[in-house]
Amino acid sequence: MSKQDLSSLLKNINAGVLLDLGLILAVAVGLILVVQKTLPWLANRLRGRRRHFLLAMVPLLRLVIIVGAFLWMVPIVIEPSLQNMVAVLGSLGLALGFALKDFASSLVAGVVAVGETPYRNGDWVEIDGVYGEVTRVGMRALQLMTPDDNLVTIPHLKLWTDAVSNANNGEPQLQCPTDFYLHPEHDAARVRAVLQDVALTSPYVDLERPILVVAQEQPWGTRYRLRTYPIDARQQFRFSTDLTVRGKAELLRLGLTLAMVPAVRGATLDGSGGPRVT
Amino acid sequence: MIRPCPLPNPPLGVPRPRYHGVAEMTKQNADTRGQDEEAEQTLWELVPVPEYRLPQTPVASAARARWALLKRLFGKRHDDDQTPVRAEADLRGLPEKRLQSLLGAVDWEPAADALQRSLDDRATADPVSLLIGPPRSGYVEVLRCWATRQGARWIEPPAYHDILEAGEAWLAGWPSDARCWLLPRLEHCWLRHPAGLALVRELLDRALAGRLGHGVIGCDSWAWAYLRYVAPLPGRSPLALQAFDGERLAALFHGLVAAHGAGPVRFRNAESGKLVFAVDGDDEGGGTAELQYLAARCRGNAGLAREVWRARLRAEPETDDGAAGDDAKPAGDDDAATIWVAAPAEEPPLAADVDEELALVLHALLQHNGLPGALLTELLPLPKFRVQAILHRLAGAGVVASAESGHWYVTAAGYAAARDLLKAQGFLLDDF
Repeated sequence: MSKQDLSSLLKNINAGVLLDLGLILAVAVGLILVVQKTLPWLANRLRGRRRHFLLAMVPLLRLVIIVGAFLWMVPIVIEPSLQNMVAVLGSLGLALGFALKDFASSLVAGVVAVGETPYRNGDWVEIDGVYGEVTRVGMRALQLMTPDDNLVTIPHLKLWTDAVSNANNGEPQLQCPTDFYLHPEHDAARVRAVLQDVALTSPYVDLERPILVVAQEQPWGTRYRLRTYPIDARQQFRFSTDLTVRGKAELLRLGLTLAMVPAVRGATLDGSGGPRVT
Repeated sequence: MIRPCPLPNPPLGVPRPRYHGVAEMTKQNADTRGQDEEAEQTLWELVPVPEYRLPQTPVASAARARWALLKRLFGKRHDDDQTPVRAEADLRGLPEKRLQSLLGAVDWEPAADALQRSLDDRATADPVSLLIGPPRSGYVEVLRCWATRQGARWIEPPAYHDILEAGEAWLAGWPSDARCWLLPRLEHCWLRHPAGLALVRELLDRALAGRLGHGVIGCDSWAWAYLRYVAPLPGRSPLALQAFDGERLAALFHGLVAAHGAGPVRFRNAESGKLVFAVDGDDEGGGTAELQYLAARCRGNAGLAREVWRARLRAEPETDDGAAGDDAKPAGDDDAATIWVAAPAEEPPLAADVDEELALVLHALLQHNGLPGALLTELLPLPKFRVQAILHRLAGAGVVASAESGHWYVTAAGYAAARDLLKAQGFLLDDF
């Protein structure tokens, strides 16, 4: 591109233009900071759908601000003709494609993530074996807070190749499966009724949601999976702990025997690995 | 259908209840009494629970409440931009005797009449009828009054350890004669514990099938909201006392003042100086907006509204020469005494609090209509010391209090804030 071509592409860059660009940039950054600070602050004082809605609005508003600022700035710098726009954006795309391929891919995936919403702030997701609550959906990456209180940053790039498992998908509630393992010789109907009562009497349970008990016979005993929903997704570990503690106490009080399988290296409890039957 | 039980003869020296004395009155008295009874009949109305209509909050009051909530959300708690007509510090609380004369005990007999009429209207073969009421609404008192007049057998709830053992002995001891019975507190017949539901299920199953004879069951609204998910239900909606709006509250309070002979009284708002309502004085028209807001805040619960209202009543302080400043009469005014109505006490700061453990304790207390502290530890996934710490914290904020029996319960002053907190955290609420 010759010097003349470049001068015809760009507008006169003088102090006034620079001041305009600086102001737009400052306003955009300021707005983004305000959105990123105030909405989560407000959301954390609310519960349920309102909290999730506010949290999910953060990346969307940020994208709107960035796109708005970009569209505002481009005509100030470039003569707004089709030819000029194609030339500038094409060059920018090539540069990003070669030099910052993964970064650019993450940015594009970030835009897709805002549109497709495979995860939002407040969702509980599992990506690449990491499970946690989405605390921030940035332009390049998202951050998860795991139950062990670790903050994990995952680039949006994973969206192209990895499965994203979303436990609540924008809803305040998520299903919370809790397992119980019993010696095979028992009255299964009674156990099912007891486990349903264990769930019904938990102070965390969402009574509007179904409570299911799924039983599965295994070579070493019977596995019962209690599928229930807590009132709030953030209660899931306290909820399943409560179900486990009170469920075990009630089963033992009724004289039922819990299954005990000898530890075998490489064995799994779903039966596929096949713990040795004794 | 509930068969009316024969009315017991009143003890010697005790006058028959008022509703039997109409024929003996002079015509003039009968006319007056007839009007009074008509007013009382419209005051107490029983409706199926789905027809319970919450009073509307006045628009201005709702806006003020939302503004206060917003300020609380952003950390500002006090608003000192208005100078009250009568500063609260210049007023004094009323002695119990005076409070009794102004807002004494409610006469539940008209409500019991209304209950009997509703039961008669429900001419069905249902062996059992249910009366549901929110905490402090007086449904137990209505049932007590009804049972006394109907000669119904009063059934006490089982002990807690009986509930956890399925209450076989308690159920086995159920009276087998044909006399109708009353179980006034179904909320004390279950526990939110895996072993605490069997008794109430069996009880309702037997009662609804008619195996326990004819009777009436009273239940707290919070317990009923939960029991709907875990126990057999009657085919028809239970009954409830219809909500009190501002006008009906004014009529109730007016009746209480008149019934206890408090004389001409004017109730004025201490902040604005406006008349709220007057009894036997020159009624200046007044406005029921204040009482409408009270009714809305108490969700139409007359018993709760009465307690909250009582706590707000103030009088002029005594003068230096020892003259009773009690119910001072402003110069140039008529004989009506003035009672100042202080601003509503600032509600305990629970709404902005997202403390989950606190909500768990409050929810358990409301669902069981009070519990001993030791039992709370059994029902909640919290260690004993945490439960105790939370109870003391809530007691310090005036949200809960303990009775002599060792039971903890949610106070009238803390009820609205507790409900708001539970609603904000998504807990199961009652219908009232």
